[in-house]
Amino acid sequence: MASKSLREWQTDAWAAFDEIEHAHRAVGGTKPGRRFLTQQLNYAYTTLLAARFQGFARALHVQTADAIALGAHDANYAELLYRSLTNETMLERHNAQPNSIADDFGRFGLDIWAEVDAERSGNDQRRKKLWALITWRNAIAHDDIDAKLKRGALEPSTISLATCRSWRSALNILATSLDEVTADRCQALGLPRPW
Amino acid sequence: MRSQPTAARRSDFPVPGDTFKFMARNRTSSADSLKVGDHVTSKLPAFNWKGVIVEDLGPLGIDGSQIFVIREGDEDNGRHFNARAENLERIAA
Repeated sequence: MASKSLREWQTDAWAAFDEIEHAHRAVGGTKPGRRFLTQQLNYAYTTLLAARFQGFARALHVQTADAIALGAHDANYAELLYRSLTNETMLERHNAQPNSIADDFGRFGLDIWAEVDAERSGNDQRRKKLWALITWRNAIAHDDIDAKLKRGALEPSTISLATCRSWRSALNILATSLDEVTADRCQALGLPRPW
Repeated sequence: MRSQPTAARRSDFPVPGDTFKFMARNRTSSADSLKVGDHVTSKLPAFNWKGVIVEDLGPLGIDGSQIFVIREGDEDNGRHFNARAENLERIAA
């Protein structure tokens, strides 16, 4: 069983990504020059990937905090715990960059990236892709792509449909691992496995 | 024949694939449900904070409970935290 957050990622978010893919095919075709016609779609795809992953990570944090708080022995203690676990989270104010995720999920006593890396090989490389996605997302959203390219701050230096697909694939696996690791954590705390 | 105006909304008819937030719109539509902007406090006796609902996260609770983001304090310096709907009580602004 997966968490509600993961199920929503795998249904609603995937459907949104597929819409961009369809738009790509409709606009771009296969002729030379399609790269220029579809660059804005790639930027939109990048922004959408980052936004939906933030939504997933935030929802997973909310659900994990809820599962842990419900394990408290009385309602007052549960509310106190829930409030502490959800107070001023990074994911509420920032992108789902690895340090935001580490900070918020660290409240559950988790070294989240160590656990995620151990959960599936290659996750350390997928985390690097998440950083690249977020860096590109910020460059697009703040309209400073050129300045960042000059500083060599964007890797890769251009975004194609293949880049977006690679990011999407990495996020899919990271989402599954995050879901698994948080369920493991609830169990380790002596609670029923929540999903 | 022309269609007549109606108060029905898309969110009144959930279908598979709807997002939690979309479904949440319907769940918060009745007059006695909590909604963004409501001033609230905790029903639990050990707490006496007062806050405002600033976001409806939908039925994200592990048992499907509605979860809200509460701001305690003013707009610029207030603190944000989450609370379950069943633990909240609406109060006068």
